[in-house]
Amino acid sequence: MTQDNRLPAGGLIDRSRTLSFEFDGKTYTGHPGDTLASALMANGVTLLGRSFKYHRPRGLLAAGSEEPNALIQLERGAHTEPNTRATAIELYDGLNACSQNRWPSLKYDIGVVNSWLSRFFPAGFYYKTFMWPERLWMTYEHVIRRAAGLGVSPRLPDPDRYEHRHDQPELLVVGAGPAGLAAALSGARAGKRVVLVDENPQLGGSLLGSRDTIDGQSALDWVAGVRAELAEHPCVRVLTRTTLTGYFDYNYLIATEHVTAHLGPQASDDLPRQRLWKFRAKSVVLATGAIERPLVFADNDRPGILLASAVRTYQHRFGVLPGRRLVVFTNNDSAYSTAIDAASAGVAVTLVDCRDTAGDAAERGADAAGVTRMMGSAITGVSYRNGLQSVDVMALSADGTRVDGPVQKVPCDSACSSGGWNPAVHLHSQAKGKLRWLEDTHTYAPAACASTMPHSSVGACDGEFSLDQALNAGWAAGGATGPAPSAERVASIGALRPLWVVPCDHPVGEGPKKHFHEFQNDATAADLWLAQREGFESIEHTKRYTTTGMATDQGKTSNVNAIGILASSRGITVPEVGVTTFRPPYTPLTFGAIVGQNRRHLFHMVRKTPIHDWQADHGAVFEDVGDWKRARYYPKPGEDMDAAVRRECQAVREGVGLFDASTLGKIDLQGEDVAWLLDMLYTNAWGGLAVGKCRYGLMLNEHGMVFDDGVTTRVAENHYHMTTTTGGAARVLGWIEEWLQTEWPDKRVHATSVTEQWAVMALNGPRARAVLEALTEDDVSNDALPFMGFKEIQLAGVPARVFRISFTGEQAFEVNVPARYGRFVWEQMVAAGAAHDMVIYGTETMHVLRAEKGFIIVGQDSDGTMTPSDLDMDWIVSKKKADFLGKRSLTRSDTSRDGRKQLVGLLSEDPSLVLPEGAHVVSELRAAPPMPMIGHVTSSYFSPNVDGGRSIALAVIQGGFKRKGDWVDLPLIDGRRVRAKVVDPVFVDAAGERVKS
Amino acid sequence: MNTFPTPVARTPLADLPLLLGALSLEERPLSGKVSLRGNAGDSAFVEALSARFSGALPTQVGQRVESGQASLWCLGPDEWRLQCELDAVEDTLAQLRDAFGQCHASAVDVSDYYTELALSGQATRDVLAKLTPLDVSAEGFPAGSQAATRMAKCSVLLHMVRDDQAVLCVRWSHAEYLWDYLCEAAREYNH
Repeated sequence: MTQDNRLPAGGLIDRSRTLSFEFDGKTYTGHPGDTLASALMANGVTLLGRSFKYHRPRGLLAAGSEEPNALIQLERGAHTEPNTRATAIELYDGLNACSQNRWPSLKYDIGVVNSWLSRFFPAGFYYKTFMWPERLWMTYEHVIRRAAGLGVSPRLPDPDRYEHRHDQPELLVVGAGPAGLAAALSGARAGKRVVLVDENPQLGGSLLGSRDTIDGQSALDWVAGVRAELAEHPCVRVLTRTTLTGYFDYNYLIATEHVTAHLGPQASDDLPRQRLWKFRAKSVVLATGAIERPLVFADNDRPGILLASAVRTYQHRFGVLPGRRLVVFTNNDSAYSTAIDAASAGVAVTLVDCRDTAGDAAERGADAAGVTRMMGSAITGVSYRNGLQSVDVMALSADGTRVDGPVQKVPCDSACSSGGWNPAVHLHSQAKGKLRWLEDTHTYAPAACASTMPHSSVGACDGEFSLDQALNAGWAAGGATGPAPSAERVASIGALRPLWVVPCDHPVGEGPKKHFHEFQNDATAADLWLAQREGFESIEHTKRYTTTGMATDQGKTSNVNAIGILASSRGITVPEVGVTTFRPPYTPLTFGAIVGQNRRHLFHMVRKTPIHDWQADHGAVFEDVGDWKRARYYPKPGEDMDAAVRRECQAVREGVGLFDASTLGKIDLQGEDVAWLLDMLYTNAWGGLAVGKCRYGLMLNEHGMVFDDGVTTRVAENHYHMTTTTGGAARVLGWIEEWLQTEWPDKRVHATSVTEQWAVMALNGPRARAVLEALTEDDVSNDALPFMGFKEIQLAGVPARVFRISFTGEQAFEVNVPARYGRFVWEQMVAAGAAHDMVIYGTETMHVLRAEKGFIIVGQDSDGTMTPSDLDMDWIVSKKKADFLGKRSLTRSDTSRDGRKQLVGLLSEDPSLVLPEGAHVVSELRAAPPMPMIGHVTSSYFSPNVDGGRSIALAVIQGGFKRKGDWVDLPLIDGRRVRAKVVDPVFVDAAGERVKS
Repeated sequence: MNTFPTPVARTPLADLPLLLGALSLEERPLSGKVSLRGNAGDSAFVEALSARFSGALPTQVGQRVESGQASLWCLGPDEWRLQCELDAVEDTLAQLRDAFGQCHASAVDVSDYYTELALSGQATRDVLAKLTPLDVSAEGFPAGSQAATRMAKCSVLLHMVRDDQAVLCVRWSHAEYLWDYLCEAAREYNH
């Protein structure tokens, strides 16, 4: 393939190098500086996709990110990315792209029958046709999604890297066209921290596709000068290839920077493919320019029909034109530059202007360049057969509603139109800014903005279309003193004739020709009228019913045309129609950019105790508990979990076991009022606790429901050490702080988290003391350190706090040492324990041992709806205390009623059957669910220590205390029906003697 | 009488290879850290501290004063972090508790609660900016600044020691995650 449409000279491309790329399996060439779009145009490829609904052939409309048609599936396999705009893809060597939404091929697409059947696909056709019968919707949807769709999402994990980065500019300038460059330069000279972002690879914006002069030099030379000066300022950051996609509250904005995406798949192992910038900007200058809108004329969607400004951009930036015979159709003066510049490059240009006269300068320029002008005329039809053949031109009536006279066929191979300009108000709109209607240029421009999102709009995005004004406004927004850059004042649009729908030789919407205002979602003027006839008058309703301006397009080229069409058909003014809201993102961003670095091991922290590595080295199997990894069991060779846990459980009851309890929450409490605070936090009384003593407590929320439990120890006069559940550590500290700060600010208590200060090792079992004694010369006898006592000792040469508390019902010591000595002391214990056949056990064994004693685990046996009474723990609720948190709720009618679920033990009829946790207890077995459910199993294990080995369970059952001794039924999820006996939940050492030994 | 081997102290990142290059990352030796709570308006509390710290008690959040081998850093309206040599913690705690007397104040040893990572090199601020929404530019966070902030998903006490060095004080159990995150963020500067 040769680049037939490439002009012999011109453009900002590097002609000394040739790049090879593939589109739909064919190989083409282009140059560095090309986009995929310009390279395809150079190669004469005009057919780039099929339309969303009707599968009509589509080509390029635009040259920038507003392109609605040329959506491309870029690359293959894991690197594939759907819905990328050909106009925004920089060409690189080896690029591989495919068109979308066609089957079996782009040229012969079977979905085109949708177009022939288009009268069955009117606006709202989803809602009308396929919602009945309802049961078939799932089938319909599947077919429709395939037929009317965009690209294909990747099926493989994304191999690329992405990252987030924060920045806090004083001045964030969005858009590096003339206004944005002037603002950035001005801000830089004023000494501000400036960030300038632009979606293009080069600075310059509209200047890249023009022949203007600024400050007496060519626009491109001026841009180069600004770029050089900005590079000198240390506080200025210039980000090209960066799209500002979202503008959120308090000037928080996000932008996607294409760091290596333009270089092809996996261009760098060290750089991210894309970087998501998160800006918190003091002030924002929007210089996002304007987007040309097409004229809505008959079959205006045919490939080869572009926007007028796009043709000019392709010529000046890429040295390429879409053909040799160009028709330019316009209602304003701006398209004259396109006609003149194309004619100067040797193209035969016919200019169809719906006005009778244009501006003097425009007319003179066109005539001088040899452009054929057809004034007061309109395009009424397009001949397309594997390319544009000709357009039909007729005279337009004075009121713009009819065309008359003979049809003139103008042969051509390309065409373009200009229906005026829409300031790119998207970001302003995202920032909750209001819009104002400009009567002279017939378009919306920014008005007031929300005070929480201070920004200004300058240049074309403010509805100011002359270059000189844009430079002035940008300069003023940047804050520098001194004269602004200046340019020749050009009235670029002139007197625009609004012509929202261009009539043709049959009534619009009633013949074969279609008038598209919205290309990406395939919506026509007739669709808008239909929506209106069916009562969807509000612009927001119309938008959704016709899908105008939805999804990835966000109405960039279509929105104002749609509003204009509605206004003219309803006979009201455009502002009376109202506007829709533009939503982020401005252009789609990848999930990779949203996720950033936060994946795999960086998705979330894995918290490990100081003893973790030893456990891993010794074969521990870990489980997740909150963010922590906790050793669950330590299988010996050949053991499964059941075998390991039985061995560990037995060893603890018969000898001694060692357990890592470091993850327990720990809070240091100091102050005169700690005892008072504990009385409020816990249900039991704390006044009498002596120094050196521990006490267990339950915490309730205001509703009287148990939310945490633990042991608190008085280590000194006004100094306490509280423990919480592993998962409840942060919640309890927050709870304490909330009450201290909001309700009891006069109380003298300081609460400090010390969870990670201490490594905690629990020695449990009849020989626990023996192991401890081997490691200390301090007296840890039952007299010196009795059950529920506390003592500070030297253990293996390390200062340790030892608590005589037990979660197993055995003689137990919880040893706390500074975390840095955790591993060392653990190893000393392991060594000392060897003489006593000490077992190392994990959380699973801990769970079994505590269940044998009927000790609850908050969050497993309780679920936020259990009172102490429900848990059979009335004994721990003080009847004497005047108040504690949750007290008043315990006497509410619902919390004190009979028939609440109550914690009991369960023994299955078959002692070898371990009931599944969560199994339902029912009051009546039926053939099939539903059955009246009266409770469920909360904890269930095989206990080697009960009755020589049998299953045990805890359950919550309605009125459970009164059912003790009864048999209940449990229909299991696998279909089995089993019976279990309701019993007391304490299965081992009911007298509680062992713990005191 | 039993004899025990000399206790061995370990830190959470002891086994990780250092990151060395244009940027370097290392875990600092464990320092002494004491969490102080009290009322800056209570003269007894202020005097108790000034006995140990020459100069005024810092009361602006982020403000830090140094005194010999120790520093005192204001973390909140009633919260300070005292940093000293690890060996000095025990004496410091005892002295402070004595000095506090009857005033409502607390001193808690949190030396092992946190570890400190030192990140050094030209691109230090660039790396930090990938982890925190805090303004860590040379203008917004000049050398000597400190702040409690969020970095990735961790709470971090961040100290900009020099323009090209930051010290990040992080929870023991978050340290490995933060380390890995920093290594990933530093990748583009260390080839």
